[in-house]
Amino acid sequence: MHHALRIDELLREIVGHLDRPSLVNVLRTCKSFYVPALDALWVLEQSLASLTGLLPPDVVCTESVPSLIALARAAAALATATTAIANVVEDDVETITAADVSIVAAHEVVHKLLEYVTWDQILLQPWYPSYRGLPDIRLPAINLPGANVNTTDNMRPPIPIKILNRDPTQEEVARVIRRSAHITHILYTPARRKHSLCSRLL
Amino acid sequence: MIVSLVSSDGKLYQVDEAVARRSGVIYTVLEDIGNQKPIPLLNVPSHVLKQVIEYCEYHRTDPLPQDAEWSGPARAELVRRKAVVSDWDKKFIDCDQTLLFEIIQAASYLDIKPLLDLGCKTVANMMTGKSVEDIRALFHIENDFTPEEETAMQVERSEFESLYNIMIKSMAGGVNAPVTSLPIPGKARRRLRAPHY
Repeated sequence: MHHALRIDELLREIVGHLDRPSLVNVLRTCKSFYVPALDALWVLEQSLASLTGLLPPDVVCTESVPSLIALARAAAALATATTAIANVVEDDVETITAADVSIVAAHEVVHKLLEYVTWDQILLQPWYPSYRGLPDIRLPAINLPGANVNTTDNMRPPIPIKILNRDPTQEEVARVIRRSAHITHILYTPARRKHSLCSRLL
Repeated sequence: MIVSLVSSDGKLYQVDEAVARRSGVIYTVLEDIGNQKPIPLLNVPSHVLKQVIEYCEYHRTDPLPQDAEWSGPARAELVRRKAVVSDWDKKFIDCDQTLLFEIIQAASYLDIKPLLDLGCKTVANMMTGKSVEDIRALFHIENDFTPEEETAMQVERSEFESLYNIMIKSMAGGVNAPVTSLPIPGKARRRLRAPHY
């Protein structure tokens, strides 16, 4: 490989001229092409579908909360219009786009919505969600039959949970979305985010 | 007015000032310290400098790109719009791969943006429509991904494709469209079957 291809600045110039299918192939050729091509892919991204796809599948597929995707969409539209945008992402992304904000808002909406859903409802599902994909979501300290709550989680202050025993109403959902408009910051490490973004795009 | 340029291997080239000023670096040098001594170009060998001068001489009357126009996110759009490459440029850049990359590096070093774009566009065209293996073979790239990383990329990709299609369908239904009975992609389902409790 010519050493010019190892220079990040030149690689970025080159991938800037590529279309989407070519970028996908280029980023899979070797590690030095990976990040520049990935960034170029995001520049070409037009729809929110890929971004919503960044949500962990177990959350997106929650049957007891049928409108999660719709909520994420609404929140994305809302977040784009708020002034909170500039404060949302504090990592190495050069330009904060509406897309960045959307995904952060979508995560936050899911987080908020979980406050309105009964945990036993979720736990009784055959595909109990792991929440590993969600940043900073902890199991609340509630006692369920046979449940062995993780002790490290108990050491943190529990999230106050409202037990509804039913699906949230439209008004409650609307309230969740309204609350998400005030979000100015969410903890999300850059390294993890990069990995997550790329693996969903490939 | 004549400007003297010295290549990395010590060869002296004399060019018109208008030609030399196509390079952002030389432009700055001329503005700052004037045209008194030959300008040494330590990173540009003579065979590359010859090509660069040929390009600059042909394009000596082109308008210089404005700084604001050539930086920031707007630039990507601009480059796309300027997709047309003239016949002369095509012929000029039609050289062997090593020289092509040397020209790109020199254009980057000397800050000649149209030449840099021409070179990068040419490399991009060489990559377009080729498979991963073809790209590796063409540019002699060694695959430095581990087998685990490659498999992970494949799995994530196939899982995401199924989810992506569902998303597209559900998002077409409007904000309040219910999404029910979504299939869970394989890896997630396997993970979820074994709860921590």
